[in-house]
Amino acid sequence: MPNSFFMTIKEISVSNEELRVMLEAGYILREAARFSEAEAIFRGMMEFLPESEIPQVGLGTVYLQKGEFERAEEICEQALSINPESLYARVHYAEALLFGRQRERAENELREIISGDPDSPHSQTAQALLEAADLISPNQASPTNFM
Amino acid sequence: MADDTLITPVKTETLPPVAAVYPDIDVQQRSKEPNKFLKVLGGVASTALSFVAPGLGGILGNVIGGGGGSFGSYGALMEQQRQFEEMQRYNQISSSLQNRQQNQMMNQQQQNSMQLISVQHRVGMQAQEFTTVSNLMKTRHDSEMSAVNNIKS
Repeated sequence: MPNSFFMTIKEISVSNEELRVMLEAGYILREAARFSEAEAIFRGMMEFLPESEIPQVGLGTVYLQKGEFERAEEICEQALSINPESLYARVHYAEALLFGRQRERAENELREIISGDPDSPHSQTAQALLEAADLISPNQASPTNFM
Repeated sequence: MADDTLITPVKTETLPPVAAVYPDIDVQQRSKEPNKFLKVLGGVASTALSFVAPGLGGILGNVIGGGGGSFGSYGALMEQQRQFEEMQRYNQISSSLQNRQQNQMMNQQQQNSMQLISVQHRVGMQAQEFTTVSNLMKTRHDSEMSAVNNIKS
């Protein structure tokens, strides 16, 4: 009976706390530049949470950190297709645009995020990204009018 | 021409004192006081002869009336004048050297100031960049933690 030997992902019971710990482990591995391990974690989390955009955005940030901005943009776009309202996904999508030298689009997106919910932690990241736009994408002349 | 102090690089060594270069300067200054009679006679001769030969009158008057009434005093005068001219040259060279040293020092100071300003500018820029990146990392971390804390299976 080989089929009974393997469990499907839905049969594995994982608590919210365990999911958080795994996600955090993914972020830590990403920051430690252990990209393949971080990617494995986020891909596994995507299996656990197919309806959440968070592991997918996490995967996108791994590609951002690796310098593969187009791939990161694609992944964040996919995450937005799961939850178009997700500020977390929108911020990282805009970040991918900014790093991919699409500064104007990125800045517009970031300003929209900030104006939509100024107190959100994602809006603060958006603000910080706007402030760092000159460092991230310096060659394009664009007025950095924050807010 | 290689010895020309205006062309060759300036050495920062100071010039020797004037007394060392001209040790007999004091001797020259202590010239004999001429005889009163000879002074008067020289004056008269000078005036009289200056009508006949204007240049020679003054010289002869000086020879008769000046320091001891001999040609030696005229020679000493000429020697004094030569030494005076030499001293003038010496002073000129000395002041030119001083000016050059001052200019060099000013240029060096200017360069140092410019370097300092440039370094200060770079440090300021780096500090600003550091603050910006640090703030971005912090807010990104907060954003991620907020997303993770809202997760539900």
